[in-house]
Amino acid sequence: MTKVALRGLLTRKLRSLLTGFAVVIGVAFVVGTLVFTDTIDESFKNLFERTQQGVDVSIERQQAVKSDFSVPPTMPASVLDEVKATPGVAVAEGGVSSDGTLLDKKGKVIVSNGPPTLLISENEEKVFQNLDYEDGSRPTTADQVALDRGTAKKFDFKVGDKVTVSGRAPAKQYTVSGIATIGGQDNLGGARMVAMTLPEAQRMTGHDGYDSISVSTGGADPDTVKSAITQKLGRDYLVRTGKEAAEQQAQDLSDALGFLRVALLIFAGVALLVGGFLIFNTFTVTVAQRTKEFALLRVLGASRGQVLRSVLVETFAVGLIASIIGVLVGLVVAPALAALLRAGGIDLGTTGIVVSPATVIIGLAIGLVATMVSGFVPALRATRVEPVTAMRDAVTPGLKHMGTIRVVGSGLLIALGLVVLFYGLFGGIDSDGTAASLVGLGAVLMMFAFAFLAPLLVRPLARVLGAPMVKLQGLTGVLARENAIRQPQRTAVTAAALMIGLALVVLVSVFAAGLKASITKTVDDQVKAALVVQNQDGFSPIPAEVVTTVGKVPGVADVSSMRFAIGLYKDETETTAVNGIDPKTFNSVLTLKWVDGDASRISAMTDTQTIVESDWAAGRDLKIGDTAEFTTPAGKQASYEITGTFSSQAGLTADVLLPNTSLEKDWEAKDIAYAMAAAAPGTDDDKLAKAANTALKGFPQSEALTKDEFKDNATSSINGLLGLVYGLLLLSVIVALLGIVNTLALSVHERTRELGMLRAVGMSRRQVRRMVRAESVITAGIGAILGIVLGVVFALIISRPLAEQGFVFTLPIGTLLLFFVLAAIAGVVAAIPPARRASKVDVLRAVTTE
Amino acid sequence: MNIVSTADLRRTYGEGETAVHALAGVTLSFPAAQFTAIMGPSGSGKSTLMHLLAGLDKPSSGSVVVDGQELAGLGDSGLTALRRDRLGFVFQAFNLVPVLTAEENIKLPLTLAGKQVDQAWFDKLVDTVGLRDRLTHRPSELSGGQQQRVAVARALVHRPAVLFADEPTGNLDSSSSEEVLGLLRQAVDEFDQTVIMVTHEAAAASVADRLVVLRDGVVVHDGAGQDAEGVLDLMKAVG
Ligand SMILES: Nc1ncnc2c1ncn2[C@@H]1O[C@H](COP(=O)(O)OP(=O)(O)OP(=O)(O)O)[C@@H](O)[C@H]1O
Ligand SMILES: [Mg+2]
Repeated sequence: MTKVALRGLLTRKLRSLLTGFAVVIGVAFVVGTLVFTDTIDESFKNLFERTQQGVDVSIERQQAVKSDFSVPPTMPASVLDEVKATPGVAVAEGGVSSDGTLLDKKGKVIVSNGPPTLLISENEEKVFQNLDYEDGSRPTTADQVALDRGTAKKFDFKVGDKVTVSGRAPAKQYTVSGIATIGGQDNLGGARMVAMTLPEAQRMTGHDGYDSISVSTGGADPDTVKSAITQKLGRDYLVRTGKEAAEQQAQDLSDALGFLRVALLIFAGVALLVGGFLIFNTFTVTVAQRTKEFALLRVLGASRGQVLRSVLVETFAVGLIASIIGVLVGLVVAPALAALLRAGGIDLGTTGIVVSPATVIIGLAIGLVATMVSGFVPALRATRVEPVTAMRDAVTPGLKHMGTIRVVGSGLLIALGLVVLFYGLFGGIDSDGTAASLVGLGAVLMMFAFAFLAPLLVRPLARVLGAPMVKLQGLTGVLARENAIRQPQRTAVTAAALMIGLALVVLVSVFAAGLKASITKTVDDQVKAALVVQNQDGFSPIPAEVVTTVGKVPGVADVSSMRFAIGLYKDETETTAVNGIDPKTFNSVLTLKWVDGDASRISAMTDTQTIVESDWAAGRDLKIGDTAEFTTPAGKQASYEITGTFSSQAGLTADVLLPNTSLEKDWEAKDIAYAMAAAAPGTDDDKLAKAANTALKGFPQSEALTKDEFKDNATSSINGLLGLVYGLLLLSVIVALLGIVNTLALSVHERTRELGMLRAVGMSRRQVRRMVRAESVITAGIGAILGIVLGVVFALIISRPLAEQGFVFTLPIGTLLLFFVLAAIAGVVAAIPPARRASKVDVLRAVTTE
Repeated sequence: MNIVSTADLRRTYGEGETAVHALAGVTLSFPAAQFTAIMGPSGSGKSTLMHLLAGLDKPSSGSVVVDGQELAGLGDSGLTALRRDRLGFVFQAFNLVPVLTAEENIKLPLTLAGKQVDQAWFDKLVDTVGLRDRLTHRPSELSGGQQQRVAVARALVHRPAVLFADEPTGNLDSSSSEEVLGLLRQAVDEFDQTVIMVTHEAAAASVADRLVVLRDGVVVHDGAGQDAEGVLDLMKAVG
């Protein structure tokens, strides 16, 4: 029987190939993601090992509040003396590091959404010097900097060139003294590195002291020295051996990038799910077409088990071959993913690929499981073939008796999906990860429910979609419509595969449209300021001097600066974002949506008071007059009396508002995140922005935006992200289109005689092609309608919790229509190969076979 | 006037030693309004001849002229148009499009050509084949005989120059067979249609005006129609 199965596989090469292709794509995506993220991890591990070379013990301030990408606070310079005085310390040196801004040769700020520009101090001590200068030498004066080779290459800097850099201090022109590599790498994982002398680095970063101290023990046991230093400095300091520090840094970064792995794996999962539908469909059709063959085998004495086994063996063979190919293709996908992310602005600067055995095993396992699961139901169906079928004409069973089961079954599934979805959204689940998984599970359940119900929807939807085709094409339109309806299950599953990818595309686009609308509305409602002054990248801080400079621009009435910090409320483990404000000027730039209180509460705010978001307060049983207690990044316990509550809108402010003075004192938040400027009456916003930008010449990384520009900025960054997500979902859509190609090819094959007869009585090749094309468009159209409806439903549900935070639900009708049209066009494209095949049907063969 | 004529028609399958001469030089002509039955033992080349006459296959040599057109000179679209506009077909089985109703199936050649239906002619045909109350049914809801009757109506709806039928009664019981044959006979007698039918049933052949017998790819008899017994005797004589 196995031989029969495998021979069957060979004779249906093309079909097996198409089926396998879906698995290949899914597996390749999964493997590519794993290889890609492993490669990132590995290259960072190497990098940190390299940067910690020569460092036996490393010292930083403890981070009382730690989050992704957070950095330890600066320590006072006096710590270095204490370290130096510790027994066992041979050499010790302090250094600083902070993000900054680099201008390219044309004087334009280099902006990226990915790794930052790092300003670091180059070490004086030989043991700690881990930059390899391939050209020039280390900076030795306050006017010199060294650049990493990657940045130098990309922006064409050579030794001796002038380069402008800015940090917290105003921009300054330096001479490039050297170009360096780090452990043989061009740069630090894509970051741009600017190395300066220590005093210059301290001045430029505004870090008064050291961010880290490196110790060499001169051969003494690092652990002993580590304990001695720990004892001396106390609990406020994090003392680690160089090795521990490197491992931890790599781990932190890997954790911080964990979201990337998860996100990519989700997209891979979607592609695989779509692939599963395709496999299911192909095997179902193949089994249906082979009914007679199975019946014959049964007549000849094959048991049900043998028939089942023979189909499963075939499924397994397809799964195995496809998974192996998938793993191989995955190795190509990894660099492609890196390129895609780079196109989306996230350049992680990785090189080489890391393939762990786990990746290969996971890839093979996923591919095999997906194939076997999808192929099992069709295989079972094959066993139900009665031997007598061999004697009579096979009639594909009708759908009527399935109707009720389908309606009830999909109803139950939808209900279950909704329950899971809502539980994930509103169940008050603490862990974001669990909640998100539940939402995902609910969504997948609903997709299956829709797919299960879809065969019943095929007829009415095909009627609607077929109507214009019947009008346009007449008979071929009618035939196309009827062919689509003929095997509702087949059409439904094919359409459902497209539905999945499209539903997610629609969900994302509806969400993005909503976000844009919300931002626009919130800014319009709440921002009174004429200008927003921010870093060009939109999230890095701006120097304090920028605020004073803008304040002096004629026409500016008031400037109000904002700070950000994260802290821990009481004994919570998830951090709370805190917003530092200027109580005196806040009211002239922003209006809060007050729940309890009014603007006067802000202006009267003292250093021990806070105003908080009402839901945040409600969730912690806090009300006006209560005290909110936080652990700050400085390691302090700070308490504030709540004097008002407001409702947060589209994240314009954080949940907790504190005066900037408190933030500086208790939280050591020196950086100004952004500032807003109110205009004097009668001032033109555009002219004011121009004047402010002229005044900000010395701070090229900062920009003053009018309210409108600010809105545009925010919406265009959403568009950027949207593009990336579309790119990743495209893969699933492509798999779904392959599904259409496959299904049509199978149907054409099945209808060879009919097509031959149509050709014999005078249907032209063009008419045949048109008929197949129209059927494809109808199938794609059904998928598009289901996908759009499901996507909108998802968006409606998932945006519910955000509604209170000012999420404006908007239907991007134009975009949705565009998706529909694109789906129809995709249907035309998918029909090309099967339509060709159909039009080439040999009339004679068709009317004479059997 | 001859509607269909062939000259030294040959069709060879394969090459060299294994070559099969399905038709080994057939010269025939078929005048209008005549009912011809083509008979012969299995493998004698009947279907091959019919396929060549209908432009469904290309001869190895020789020529076929249908309705004044030399088939060799026609490309695929020319042949398609010829079949659609000038020829009618009834096959042994699988004549109808399953997703179309009987009425739509009958009108198929006209719809494909984008032509208007001559309603009076259509009604006459429907009444002749006796399917007035079955017009909205799909083929799966019709008996085998009814399906063949629909096929005959379909083959006549566009008033073809010639109707080809390959074993039209091969799948039918005797009473259904009689109905279908009666229809073909009527087409010739009442509507002046030309019918060329391949069959190996003596009863079927007996309704024809002319009897052509093939053997090993050549014509071994060409004469007037016979009754069933006469046909049987003839077959015995030539076979
Ligand atoms: N495609 C083909 N390839 C090779 N040989 C063929 C092909 N089609 C027909 N033949 C051969 O040509 C000869 C004539 O076949 P044809 O189908 O015309 O016979 P027939 O008279 O219709 O027989 P039947 O009464 O069984 O239908 C046969 O020997 C057959 O084997
Ligand atoms: Mg034959």
